[in-house]
Amino acid sequence: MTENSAASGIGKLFFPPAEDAAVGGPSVPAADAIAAGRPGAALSAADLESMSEAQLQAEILTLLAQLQRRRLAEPAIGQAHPDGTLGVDSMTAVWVVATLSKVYGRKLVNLSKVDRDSLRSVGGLAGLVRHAVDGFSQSVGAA
Amino acid sequence: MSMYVPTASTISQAWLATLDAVHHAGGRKVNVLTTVSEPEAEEDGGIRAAVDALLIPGHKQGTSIQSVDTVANTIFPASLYNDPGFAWSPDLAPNGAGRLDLAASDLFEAYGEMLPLLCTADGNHLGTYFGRMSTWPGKKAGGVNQLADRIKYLRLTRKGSSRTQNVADIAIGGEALAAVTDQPDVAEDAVYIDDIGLQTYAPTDRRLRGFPCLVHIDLTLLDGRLSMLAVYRHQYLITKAYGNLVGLSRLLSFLAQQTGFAVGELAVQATLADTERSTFGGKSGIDKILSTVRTTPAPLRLSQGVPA
Repeated sequence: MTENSAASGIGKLFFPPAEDAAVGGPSVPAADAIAAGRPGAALSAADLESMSEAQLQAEILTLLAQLQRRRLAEPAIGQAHPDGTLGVDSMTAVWVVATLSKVYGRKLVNLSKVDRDSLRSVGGLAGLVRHAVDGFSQSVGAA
Repeated sequence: MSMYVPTASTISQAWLATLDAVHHAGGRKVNVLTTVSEPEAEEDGGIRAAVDALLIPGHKQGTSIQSVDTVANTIFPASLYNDPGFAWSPDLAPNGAGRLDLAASDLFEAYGEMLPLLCTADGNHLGTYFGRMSTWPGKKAGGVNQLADRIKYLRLTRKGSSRTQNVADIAIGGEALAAVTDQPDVAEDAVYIDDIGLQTYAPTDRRLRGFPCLVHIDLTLLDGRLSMLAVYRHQYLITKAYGNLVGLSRLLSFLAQQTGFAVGELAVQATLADTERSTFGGKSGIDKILSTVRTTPAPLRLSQGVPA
């Protein structure tokens, strides 16, 4: 995610940064202190197909850190879910699925057909994604 | 006949007062104005808990029920905004301004990328309000970002007025335009907009059914405070109104923070305000809801053991 997101097609939104970096004021965290990179950029469709649910859960936690621009080691924002994993709100959950869909090259789900409970936790999301990817893999195999 | 609901200080009180007033006026009223004087004030925990209990996602009498937060997210997806915790000002160090810009850009980009998937959800196939505001026409990224344009315009306005050391009574257009164009360092691509309001539907939209309920958001600057008026064609007072207020207040806070103005008031004009008696058990059903809302205790805060 970049400032003045011209690259994203949104267009130049804000004033260009001043040339002199004045001292004072809140500073941007150093790049190596936060989960770096565009969310999902390091993943491939093959990665998603080979990951176990546990690995998917770990990857989702990385995506959340990237979304929230915080260190991976920092506590994730959210409460524990009864399934033992981190609880997430629905908007964040949809963002995760959309990001992984982009990695996979196609929409992984139709939200109108998704069990809402699968969008409430990292565990639920991992299961949802795993099931969707398996479904696509099987349909390709059957063809 | 139009109805003015006396101004309430919080979203919760404003919602309850409106529901009560319209209910006792027959259940449906035209041109109902609801005003929240402190949109950022903490919600009443008891009222919110009662509304949350009432709006369990699903269907009721054929009506789709969404949670308060789901409705609010259609107007402003708060969880995608990494609030830097400070407001913009013309004197902000570049690092700070950069952080604010980054938070906004991240929000717009994340939302734009997820919008096609979001539109597969029930009720979203025609787009979302935040989608229309941030990437018009609102079903995928790359559209016109009305919010970014208005942030840019308001920042220019603020810069201009701070130069004259007068942030009071800033009119949109008129004095504001002069304040903007009078600045020697205004960028050539600075945005001049004719209408500070946010459009959520196109004049060419000829749908007779499924037309967006929220049709316009107007922003006004007065005495250094940014206020918002949202116009709804049909305001569903139980299934949607509370979530709408939450979303609108979050949107207003975002715009105020990004432009450095204080938050003013939030007003909602419903051309038709509807207590949804047919969905919630008739007059007696709404009576019961009002009673429940008034008597639901606020949830305890686990950290403090006191009502929220």
